[in-house]
Amino acid sequence: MLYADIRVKEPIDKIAEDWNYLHENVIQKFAGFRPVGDNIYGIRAVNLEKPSDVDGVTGAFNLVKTRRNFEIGPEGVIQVPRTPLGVHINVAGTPHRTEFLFGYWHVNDKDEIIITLPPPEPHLPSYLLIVMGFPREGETDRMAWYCEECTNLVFMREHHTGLVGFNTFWRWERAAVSEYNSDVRNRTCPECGHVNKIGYCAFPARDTPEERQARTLW
Amino acid sequence: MATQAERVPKPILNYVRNLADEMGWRRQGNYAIWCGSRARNELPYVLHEFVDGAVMPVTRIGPEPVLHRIPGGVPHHVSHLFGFWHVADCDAVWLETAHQGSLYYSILLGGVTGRPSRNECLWVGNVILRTPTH
Repeated sequence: MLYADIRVKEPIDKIAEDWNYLHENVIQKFAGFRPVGDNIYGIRAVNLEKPSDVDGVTGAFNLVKTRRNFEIGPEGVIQVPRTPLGVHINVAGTPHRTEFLFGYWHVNDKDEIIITLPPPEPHLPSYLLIVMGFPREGETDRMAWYCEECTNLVFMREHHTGLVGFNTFWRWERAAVSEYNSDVRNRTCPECGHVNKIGYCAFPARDTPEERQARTLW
Repeated sequence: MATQAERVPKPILNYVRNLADEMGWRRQGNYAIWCGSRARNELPYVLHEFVDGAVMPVTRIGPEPVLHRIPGGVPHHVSHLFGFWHVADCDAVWLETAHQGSLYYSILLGGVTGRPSRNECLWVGNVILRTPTH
């Protein structure tokens, strides 16, 4: 199809603001999670070699190349691969976690799409793109800890994102992690008695010294 | 005789697509997802949006990939992929990247529970032709 007579006359960046979320001037807006329209977007540059490199990080969400990703199902904890050019859809309700990135299990009521983009050219970074539906009324986000030994649910908190919106999400995350870490009884499995490691937030800059240590462990 | 545990279907924890797979659309859960690729010697797919009565191509300008939101209700068309303009009642996300000489694409349609639920086809020019809503 040719549309020469009705095609826009100006370049796209003159008429459409933020038309490419991966443009170098836009990508920082998605360094955390940002709701736009029907979805919430997160974009991560993969540029850390190992967990200890996070010591120099002041921003959010820098991914470690050697990270592993996990989900929990009927067979317990399973590792899920992130292959280049892969589109992994974490189905709503599946507890999932990325090691060294956030120290809890995220359980949401919306499907979550995770796309792994290899570097388009050698001098460019690889990217991890996260797209998930914006929760509507009655739909929530949960933060949970399951026992490292027996996978029993140890502690959980819920954020009514569909009701109160996304603006309070990070304050809620910080409060829930602090609450979990504040009392060893919160981390002690009621089934097997195992004392689990402390949790940590998605923002390394908010780590306590103990949380920074935990970030290098799980 | 099957035990109760055997009768209960296992939950689907995840499913996986790949940008390198040309497998058409898959509708499951909150999204309908399409993935596709083009070799170096093929015409690239080009996303167009119909905005304010004009056609706006959405293409990579530099080497960086493109992640572009198509708001629900905005007519869009992908050259060399489908020969009409599509309108949905929910957002779509257009992804385009290059890797090792090939181009890779995806459309993620959805995000709202129960949608897409209405789709429309248009033919755009000086006169816009609409099909009945599906």
